Amino acid sequence: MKPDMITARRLTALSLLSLLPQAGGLFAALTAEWAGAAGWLAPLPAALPTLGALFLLQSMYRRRPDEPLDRIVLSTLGPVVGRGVLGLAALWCLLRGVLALRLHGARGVGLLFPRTHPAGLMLLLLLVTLRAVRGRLSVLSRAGILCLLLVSAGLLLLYLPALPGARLEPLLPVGPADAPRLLRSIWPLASLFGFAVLTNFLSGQVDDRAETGRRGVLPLLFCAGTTALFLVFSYQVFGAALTARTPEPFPAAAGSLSGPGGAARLAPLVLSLWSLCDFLHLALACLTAMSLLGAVTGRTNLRPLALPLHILLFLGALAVPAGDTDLRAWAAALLPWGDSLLAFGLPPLVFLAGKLRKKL
Amino acid sequence: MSRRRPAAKARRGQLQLPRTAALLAAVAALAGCDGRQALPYTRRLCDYALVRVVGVDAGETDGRVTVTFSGRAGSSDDEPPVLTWTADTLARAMQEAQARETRHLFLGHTEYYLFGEAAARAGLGAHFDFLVRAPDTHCGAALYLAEDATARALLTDTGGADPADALTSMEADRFLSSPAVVPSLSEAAGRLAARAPLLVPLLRAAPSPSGAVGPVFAGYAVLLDGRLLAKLSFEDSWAVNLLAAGRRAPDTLEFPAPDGGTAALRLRSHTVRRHIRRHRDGRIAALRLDVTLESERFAPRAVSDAAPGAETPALLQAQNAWVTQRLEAAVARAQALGVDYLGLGTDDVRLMMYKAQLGTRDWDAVFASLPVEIRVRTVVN
Repeated sequence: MKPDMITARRLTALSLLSLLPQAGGLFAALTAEWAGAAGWLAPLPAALPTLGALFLLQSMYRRRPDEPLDRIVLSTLGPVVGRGVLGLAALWCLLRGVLALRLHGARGVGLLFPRTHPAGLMLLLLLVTLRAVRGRLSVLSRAGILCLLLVSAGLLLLYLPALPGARLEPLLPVGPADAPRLLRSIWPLASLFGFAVLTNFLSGQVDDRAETGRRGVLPLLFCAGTTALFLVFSYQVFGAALTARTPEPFPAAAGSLSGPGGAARLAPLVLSLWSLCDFLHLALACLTAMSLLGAVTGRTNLRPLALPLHILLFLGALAVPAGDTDLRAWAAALLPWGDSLLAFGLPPLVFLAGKLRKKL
Repeated sequence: MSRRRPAAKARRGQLQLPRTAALLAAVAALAGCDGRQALPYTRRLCDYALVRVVGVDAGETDGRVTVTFSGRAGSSDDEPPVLTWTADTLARAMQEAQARETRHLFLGHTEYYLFGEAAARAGLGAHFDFLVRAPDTHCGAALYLAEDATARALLTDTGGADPADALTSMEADRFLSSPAVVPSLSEAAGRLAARAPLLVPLLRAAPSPSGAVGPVFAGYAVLLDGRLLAKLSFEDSWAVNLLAAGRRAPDTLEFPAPDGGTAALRLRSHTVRRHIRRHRDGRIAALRLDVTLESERFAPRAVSDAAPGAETPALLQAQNAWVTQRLEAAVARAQALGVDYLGLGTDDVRLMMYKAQLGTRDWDAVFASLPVEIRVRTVVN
């Protein structure tokens, strides 16, 4: 393996790990609102579209084994349309980074530091991300594995003591008439998981990208299973109706529990774990945007882009709606559409264009 | 590509870490700037006032909200401090009270929320919503209602005793005469969000044998959509406790003896099982409750001379009939209100109902006209 290469499984795992704060926050509330008591069933089927998109990418990589995704897009869609699409994807990655940064600040202020300005929290995260983005992807991926271990351990620490008190009543009733609401609630979660498709624009640094689909199964199962547990956990404490109205259901539910040895209010534990995931998400969004901008401009040295992009992210995060309700409404309206178009609309479009133009 | 000389590049690389550290230190130093802190500072225990009970009154005069904090200082054994503040909203009242108090009011270990009856009549939905969303509050704290009184009165007129201690010892008594249904704030907010009925224990001030005035259990309040719907007296709440609670501590059950007077049996525990009877098309036809009372095997205490001195079939039958009558009255009252606050429609019932009546989930509408049969039997061991 070359020095700065990572595996397909690790890239997918990092991308999905970075989504856990949003899965346990904004998207958990959305799922509860749309699906009600049946919401905890939504995450597993929501992983299927992403899995399909990853297998489609795998098929494209196998047909063009020497080219990463951005080159495939340029060759199948043509230089003009291809650059336009890549440019839009870069903009979307930056917008995702802006929203993730602002949600990080809002979460810290809302859960723990109510009389502080989110700018300080956002700045801290950006400083650390800047250092990571100017480094190597392989180093970030190793950090991500450590984050995965810490997050898994932290979640186990929350779940295990809560298991004896688990009840079936908050998860019921569920029946055939819930199917339409459940199907509708799958879409936001599916679009969230689609971030793992977007980060495939870093496939130039993936050693075994021809196995992207196969290696993505386990990480997707982990992410979907963890999201389902977030919903189950929140339903146990709040019920479906209140989960839908809570800004950050999973951390708030953790904050209502008492842990072993008299430990209480475990929201700070969740917040610290979420900070790790936010760092990964922001770093991956920046790196993907930089890779896309490099493909658009033909630039190979992307490190100088890091600082200007981070300044842009900070200014963008300050510019989004300040009110917590407005921010979440805006994110809930925007994110599913953008993610769905790029993650589930672009790969089939590229594949079809490639077939028609006999490039694939 | 940069054309800097290698030595200059090396010097730039060496400066990166000190530069980053200096930037981080500058950010951390923002903690003391301008009163609006970028980062919070650490408080010591003596800087805290640990709030154990939060009382909320509203709707009495001009629609303002009064919040009362009762607790103790972080590191002293002084008399429990009580702080009261009034403002337009609960959020503002809590904020202004915090600004007025020199110590930091720590709400993370709040054990009880006490609302005044007037506040319950005016509506508690907005207060629940705020308390659940606020980052400082504890959603697992228990909820109570002050009957015919304000929360402030109940928390301040205690003769120096800590009202939280009185509530804690009341909850520790697992008798049929103490509250069996004590919702937490998150449960209450969840039921409000689901538009389900909520039972909240009522408290009133009463003198204890030691002379201190403390809160005592006075029955239940039925809330729907955050508003007070009905009040159940202390006598009516006995049936609620029996239906709602599972196995409880031993308690003495006094009932009219068949030959006159009053008899009593030592009730060790009881169970309630629900059975659904359906029509042929799957609709629910009736609900049957099988209540089993487990009593200890010893000669029942004769409260009056006319009562027999040992358990007899007639005595047990009298007990069963008396309990059945009380339970039937409680169920009839709930059906008359059209609200299943007794919790008879648990999710397993709703799930079965749902299978038979696809798309129909209005249990309360079904419950109001549902025939309910109650069978009580006593097992003496």
